[in-house]
Amino acid sequence: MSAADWLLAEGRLLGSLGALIEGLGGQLRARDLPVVRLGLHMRALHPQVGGQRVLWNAGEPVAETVYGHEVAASDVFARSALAAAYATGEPVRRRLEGPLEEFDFPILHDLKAEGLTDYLVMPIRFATGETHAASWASRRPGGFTDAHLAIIKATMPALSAVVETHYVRRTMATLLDTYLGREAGRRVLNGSIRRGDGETIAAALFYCDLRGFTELSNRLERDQLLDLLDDFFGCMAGAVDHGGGEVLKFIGDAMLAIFPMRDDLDRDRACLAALGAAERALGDIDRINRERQIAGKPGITAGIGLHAGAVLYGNIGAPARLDFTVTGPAVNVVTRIESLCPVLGRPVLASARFASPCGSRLVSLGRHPLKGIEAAQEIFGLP
Amino acid sequence: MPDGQDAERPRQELDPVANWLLKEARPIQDSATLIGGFANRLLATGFPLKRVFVSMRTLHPQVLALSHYWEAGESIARVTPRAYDALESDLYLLSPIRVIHEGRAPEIRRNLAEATAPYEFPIFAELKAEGITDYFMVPMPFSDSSINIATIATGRAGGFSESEIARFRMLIPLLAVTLEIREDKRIARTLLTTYLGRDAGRRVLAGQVRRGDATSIAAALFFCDLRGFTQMSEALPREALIQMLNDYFTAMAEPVEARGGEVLKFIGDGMLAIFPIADDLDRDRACLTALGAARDAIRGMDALNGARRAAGEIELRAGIALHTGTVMYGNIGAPERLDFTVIGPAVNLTTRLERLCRTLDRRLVASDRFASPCGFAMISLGKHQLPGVSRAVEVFGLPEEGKLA
Repeated sequence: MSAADWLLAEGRLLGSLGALIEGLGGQLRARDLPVVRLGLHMRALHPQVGGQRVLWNAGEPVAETVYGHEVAASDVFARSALAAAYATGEPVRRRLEGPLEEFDFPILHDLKAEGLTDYLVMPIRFATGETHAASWASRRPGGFTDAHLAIIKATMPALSAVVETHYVRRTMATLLDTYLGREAGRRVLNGSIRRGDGETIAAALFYCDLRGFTELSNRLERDQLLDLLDDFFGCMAGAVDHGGGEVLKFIGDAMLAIFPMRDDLDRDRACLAALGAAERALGDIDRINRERQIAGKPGITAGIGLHAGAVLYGNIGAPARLDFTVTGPAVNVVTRIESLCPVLGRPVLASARFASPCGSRLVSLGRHPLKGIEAAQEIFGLP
Repeated sequence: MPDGQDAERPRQELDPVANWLLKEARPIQDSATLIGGFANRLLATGFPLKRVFVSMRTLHPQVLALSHYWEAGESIARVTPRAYDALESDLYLLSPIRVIHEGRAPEIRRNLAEATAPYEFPIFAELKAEGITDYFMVPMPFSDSSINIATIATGRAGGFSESEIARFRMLIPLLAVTLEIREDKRIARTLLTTYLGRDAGRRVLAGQVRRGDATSIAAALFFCDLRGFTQMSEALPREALIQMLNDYFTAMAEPVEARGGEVLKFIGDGMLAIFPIADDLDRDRACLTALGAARDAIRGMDALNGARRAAGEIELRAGIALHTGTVMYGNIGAPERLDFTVIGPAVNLTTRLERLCRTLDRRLVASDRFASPCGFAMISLGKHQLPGVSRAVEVFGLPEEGKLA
């Protein structure tokens, strides 16, 4: 069985690119190909990721690095062997035993210093026509022989196809995480895709909105409005994420997040984590408002509602147009509590169920009527 | 191993079909064309192929799997979607596919020339009647561990040779990899269309994925919500609540999508849709189309309520608001958690307008800007003040609403 056959029969079923590259390196070395370093280099479709590198060095754990769009656009990258392979779609090979003055890529000096003798970048072509790359290096005196190069060349089409399956799947998972949220994205990819697929989960609920958004959206220019929302959601989602919660939905200027409870005993932890996230978000908003004030931008005033209860989490909508959503009485209650923030002049308000495990970190503000809910509820706020 | 390098030296001749799958087939973007090409190239190398069948699981709210059928003489495989209830049908329950899925056999090979009734599977009787002599089915696992199926059949006397069977087995991993790439891309398109909407899904797949990527578009806006939803969600059991929401959203979304509108967002019991306006001359068409969709939705709600009355369930009362204006459409949110959303004063005005449905006891209200191209199809309901909107807005409604109870 050749290494290409191994890739198609077994390698393609490995769960990650790291396992794939490590397995391939081992397979090739077992067949006496003197490769000591094998890298996969991909340009990524992701809001924050400009590229990704998965690097195997013989005898070491695989290292995965992601870098931002700014790196992919940098001068350093433009002078790399990778950039040359991307630009031409042709292999780039440099022997590292020759005279230093002939080294046309800065990276070659580093590779030589590591004791490598030969360096090869092979383009990986996807079905879409996109080009990515694999890099190969040897420590063998004299570098790769023609026979070695023929093996590498024969392995590339299968490697390209297997890498593309991983890439397509990872891109899809990332897009779902980005637009549906981590947990919802995972559930959808695991097949929870039909209407009615859903479950009831207990959670601490965190709902926030931006005070005066209607008035601001009527007054501000488009870019100023986007900037305002990005700052607001950045603070809120950042704090929720930091506290281990999950952002479920953005609704215009509002955001709904949950901190799921594993069981009844976990309620205190979930509520305290949500309260911590609310406090952190307010601190971040204060900081960003100071920066916004210096820049002459309108300030952000937020309201946060906190509650604990069961929510219904799953697919709702029309047959072919779904929403992975969260609904139920607890969602209505948390939005109604939040709508009291401007009335009571408070940035954070919580229900009695949420406040009970929080002790003195929340104080009673008396009973207040909530729209659409019959009995007046005791409401709590920060002391 | 006598000599590692020699043992690893690539085969002098890679199978021409393997070579085609790895290289020339690369630009083919869909599985049906790829399967047709694969079958025809096998045939061209003397492989006695009469039929190929490939079944692959998918991730779609209404489709469980896609069945691909190729017959000698065809260039592209025919695709038949299988709904989720197919799993309860005899077509599946009595099929060799089920045997493979349940792991009861690693492969299924059947010499049909010699087979006689009763057959193990009903499909064998059909194939034998068509002159099939040999049948071979193998599992084709994808990297997500889903098990898909590939089958070949021949009409040659004596069936497939053992070397042909071995060759097909050898090609399966490569066929699986090339199909998986196409299927995953199709699934990504389906999922983004399902959860973000057609246009937003297309924009995201085309790479509009960074925060701040946004465009302004002119559109007729359609917003609806359900009256008394908070109380209903307190009172109804979970299953009934989900069913109710699904029925109501179907009544609203289907007419919108049928007339070329796009459902942008579900917000609890609310739904926001747009009918994009191509240019200034297109505004009348967009408004009239949105109005037509709204009338269809009202009829759909009437039909739904008829069914609910008959079942002894409470009737649903929905309000629809129509407006036209420019909205901002694009990626908003936190860096790694985005929403493809729509915002702007026109959206605010539409949702505020919808609240007038309650005050005026109307099922549909529209702004003056929306109503003007609609002529006699709409009548004035007078000027009204909307919260957060400085000027009073003249509001329009359907003339027949007074008569329809």
